[in-house]
Amino acid sequence: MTDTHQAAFGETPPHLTALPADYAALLKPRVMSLSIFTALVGMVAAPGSVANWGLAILSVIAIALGAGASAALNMWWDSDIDGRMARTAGRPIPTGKVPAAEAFALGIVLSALSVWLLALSGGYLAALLLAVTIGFYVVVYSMLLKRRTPQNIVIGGAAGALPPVVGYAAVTGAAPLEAWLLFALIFMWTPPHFWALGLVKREDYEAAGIPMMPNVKGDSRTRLEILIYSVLLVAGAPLIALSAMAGQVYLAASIALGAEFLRRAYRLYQSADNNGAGGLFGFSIFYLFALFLALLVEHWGGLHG
Amino acid sequence: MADENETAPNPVADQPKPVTPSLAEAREGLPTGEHHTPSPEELKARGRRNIAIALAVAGFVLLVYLTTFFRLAENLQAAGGAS
Repeated sequence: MTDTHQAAFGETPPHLTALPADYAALLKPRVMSLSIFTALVGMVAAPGSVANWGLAILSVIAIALGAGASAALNMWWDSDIDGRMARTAGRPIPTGKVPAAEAFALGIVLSALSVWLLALSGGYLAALLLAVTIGFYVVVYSMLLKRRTPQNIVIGGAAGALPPVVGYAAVTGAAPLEAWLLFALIFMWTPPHFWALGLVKREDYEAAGIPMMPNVKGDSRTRLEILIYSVLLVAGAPLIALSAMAGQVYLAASIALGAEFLRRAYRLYQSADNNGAGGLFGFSIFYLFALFLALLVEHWGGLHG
Repeated sequence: MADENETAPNPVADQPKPVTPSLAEAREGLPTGEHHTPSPEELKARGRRNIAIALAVAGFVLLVYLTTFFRLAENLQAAGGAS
């Protein structure tokens, strides 16, 4: 008789002592929380009050599970490059805590269950949009774009922008142009947000061989593109106030926060050493959160439209 | 000459048997001569994973139950309003 693991590894392999928290980390809880928040705002901002809060909350849970599923599948696919980046080397697969095959299985099972649950609670259109979101993030972004083109996060940003549309569809059964305004807001926000991170973590992406904009086109070009997308974002964000979804509070927030966003983007554009990239990255998170919070406050306070 | 061939080392046959069972062996459940005694730490971690799986399954059953409940309530209310 031989002790398999002792003989093969010399010490206990990490996955034998993996805890539930290691599997939970596969779901990227922080990204999940942003999806939950934007989906909830999509629901609340939809015309009319939410008719059935029980079903709406169940739909939010289904959307959260779907976001977690796509994160697990992304970690499964990217486990090789995650191990080469300081920012991601501590994830469960590179550390050996969770075998890649188990992350894949968890992602597939959660994807199916989340889409099924949303079909029951939010209807078929919302479920279809959630399935598209998961498929787009895993197949189009992770598998096809991420390692091939510096436009990866521009196109792939569509996956991150879809949750408010899914939320809107879950409570109304429809996804009209109005819902896609929220999509457009997150879609235009994604490039300056991730390229600011790309400037800060340039060596990390270089080590992993991911063609982020700073590594391919250089810092100067990246700073210019950040400024261009920031102008488009800041100019477009107040237009949502023209729809019935938003009112004066949102309009004021989008103008005031947009001015600060532009100031930071312009300062970064002028700097030769990427000074302010980290600050812009942090502020971009606050910016998006605050705009969606403004929509939420308006609707719960009856101030919209 | 023939004797020399017989005594020559066979690099394939002399290799130690791999400790990892082949996929076929594992799937057929045949004894592989391997044994692993989990340490107390491994047993504790396994127990916690088992509890988490049980809670996750129970939680999902609850979600489906609640969805059914809210859907039924909504439909009964709609039917009551129509009649």
